[in-house]
Amino acid sequence: MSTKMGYSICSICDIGCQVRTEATGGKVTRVIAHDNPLLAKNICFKGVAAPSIHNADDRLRVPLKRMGERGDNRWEEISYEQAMDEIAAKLKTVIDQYGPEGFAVSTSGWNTQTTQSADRRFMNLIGAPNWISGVALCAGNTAAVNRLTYGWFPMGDFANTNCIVLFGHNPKKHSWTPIYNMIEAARERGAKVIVLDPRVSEQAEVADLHLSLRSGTDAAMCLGWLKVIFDEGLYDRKFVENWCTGFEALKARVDEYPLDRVSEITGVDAALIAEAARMYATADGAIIPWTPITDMQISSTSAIRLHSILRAVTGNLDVVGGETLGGFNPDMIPETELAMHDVLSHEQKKKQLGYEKHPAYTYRVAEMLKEPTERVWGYPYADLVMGCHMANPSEVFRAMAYEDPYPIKAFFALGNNALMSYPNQHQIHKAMMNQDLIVAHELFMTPTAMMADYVLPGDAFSERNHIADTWNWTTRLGLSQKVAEPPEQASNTYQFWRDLAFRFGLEEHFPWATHDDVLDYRLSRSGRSFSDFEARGFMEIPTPHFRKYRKTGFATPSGKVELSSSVLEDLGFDPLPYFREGPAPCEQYPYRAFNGVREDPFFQTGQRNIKELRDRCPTPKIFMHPNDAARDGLAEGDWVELQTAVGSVSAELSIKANMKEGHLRVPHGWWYPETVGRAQLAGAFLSSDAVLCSDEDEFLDAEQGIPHFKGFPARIVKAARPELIEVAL
Amino acid sequence: MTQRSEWKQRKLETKAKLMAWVANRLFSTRNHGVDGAVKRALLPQKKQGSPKLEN
Repeated sequence: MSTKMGYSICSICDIGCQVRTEATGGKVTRVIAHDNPLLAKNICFKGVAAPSIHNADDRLRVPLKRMGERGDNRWEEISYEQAMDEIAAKLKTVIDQYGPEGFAVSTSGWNTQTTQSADRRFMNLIGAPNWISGVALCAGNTAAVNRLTYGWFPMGDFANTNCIVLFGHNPKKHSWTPIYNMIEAARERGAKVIVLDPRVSEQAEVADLHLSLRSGTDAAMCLGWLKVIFDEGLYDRKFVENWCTGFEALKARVDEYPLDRVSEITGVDAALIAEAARMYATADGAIIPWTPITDMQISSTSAIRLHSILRAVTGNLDVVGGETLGGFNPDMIPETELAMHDVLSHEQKKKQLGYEKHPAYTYRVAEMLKEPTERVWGYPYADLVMGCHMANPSEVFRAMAYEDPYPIKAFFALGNNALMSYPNQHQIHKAMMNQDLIVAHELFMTPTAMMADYVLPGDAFSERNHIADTWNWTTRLGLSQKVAEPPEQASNTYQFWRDLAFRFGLEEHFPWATHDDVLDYRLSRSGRSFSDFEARGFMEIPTPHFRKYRKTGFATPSGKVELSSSVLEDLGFDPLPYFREGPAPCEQYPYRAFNGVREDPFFQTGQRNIKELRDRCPTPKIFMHPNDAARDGLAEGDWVELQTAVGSVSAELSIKANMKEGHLRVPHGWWYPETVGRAQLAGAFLSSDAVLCSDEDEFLDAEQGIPHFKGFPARIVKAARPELIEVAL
Repeated sequence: MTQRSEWKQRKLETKAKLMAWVANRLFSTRNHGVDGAVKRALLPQKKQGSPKLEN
């Protein structure tokens, strides 16, 4: 049997480490570190476990059609062609009856890699605006909100920075590994690290400064930093004068947040807040890398904007050691062009759910930024980290469940366990029960797939060629080579959408027969093919350009950094950042819980069925401070139930001195594959954090419509361990 | 950050561009040329050979 080894972009999690993958006889056998010394540390035990994932016995290998009631998990095996024919026919029926807006898609590019915007292209061609993704809560929304201030989403220059600010983010050896390694390298050459986290996290333990702020108060903290920076003149006056609008209005807003008020809100000593602000502002190059923590708060839009504003006013925007605005890689046709956003009519864009009420990452803002985006970056739409021009997920699930404001009756989930990936899981379940057609495209039978009418097996990263463009977060291109064979009846996501498009008579818009053909097309702008790319190397890094705004201005309506956002003002929102308090603890629910926190062996809701990873973390764990546990009479290892006004999760208690008192940490994405056939949807409602938060408007960030995951009222009680779950697999 | 002069900005930018060029030219290709030589010098020698990279 022949053995192949190729370069890969691992897609077991979202970070996309460059590794090497070996296969024998068409079957992946091992994943090992890259042979480039600069990349060799970028590997974790999730990536090493990829052979167990790709070769798992319970991996989906043939298309399935539902036999019993929805969610019963009873299936009939059918051919791929039959599945696609029936899916196309049923989707046409839904569209004929409810219009193209009656069709919604949820996906995660982190998992699927290969869609190449074929989903958006298909949807735009048929007039369907309701595309959602988990990036609505994580990175994608950050990208969209960054655009409001300076028109792009920057990446920190870790290699040259002198100060790194981590808002709750906690990269570790086996979680966000490349970011961890870059932080370590920066620290070794003397860069300062400031961590803002209620917990004494691993990063906080070794930080130069740790600010143990109350969960969900990032916006207030940033306003406090700005107060220090403005009062002490620690901002880049020349840049602010020449390249920013709205400084005086912002300064007046910041004056509403004196340090004693910020200290009271955040629970952090005023002197420490000032010290951190000074450290950041006076570093010769400082970065505030993306964080999933700020993405999920009731003041998220303001808090993300405040990160942007801090970058700008301290002169850290698009400079060495600061945060660079990369733009599109000129050698690769971007997904935004493939997506054909312009063919979706204005009337259909207006029907996108969220367009009216929570427009920050919908087509509504995208339309407002079209002209400056094209002027600066060469394309009218900028698909950044998959997170721009999305519908609002909560509104989509409401429409699916209650047909309000209009019915959605067909739902596709690709590489996305949608049932457990957005807030208000009970509503999502109701939404799925109210569908005429659900299609899942997956590697494994997830709870979402169990709800489907058709389940199609997907391919894995070792089984396809790919060039990763980091979804335009950076300009780097990375090579991923096919070394193994996918299951015979599996498809990649590009193939799925193309085959569906052909059944809709859209073949002229999908001229590329295979995913490899799309890669050739995307590279054709630089006169190359995929083969040319892989023959040369495993990565391309275009020469960076700094302070590009001096030639083009910024991609905002004013052409400047908008400290006071003209887009938000035109939409009727407060154009200046503010802090809004989340729901307060009360006698009934005395704790502040935060969720959305992942565990190292798993990515989102995945991998609980992989023994070598599950053994590292057999059960979900709720973290609690020892004083809180003593007061509640709870002990390490107790099985507990965390309850909120809208739901509860069951988990094992872990008492940790590094937790902030009064706070509870809830893990993300737990279900129990070992209970398939015995528990409803394999335990999807036992321990999933998605049941805990309301998505009613009063609990949502106003501009984006995302939930407050960081500091919601909760209580904790002792409970019996669910009988069906198996701690040792 | 506020102390950087235009001269210093340009110096840092030139250095960063040079380093990116080096990374792109010398550290992004396969096991041959300068990249291969650097890898062979920096990485520990394998006791057993790995299968050759495809293509």
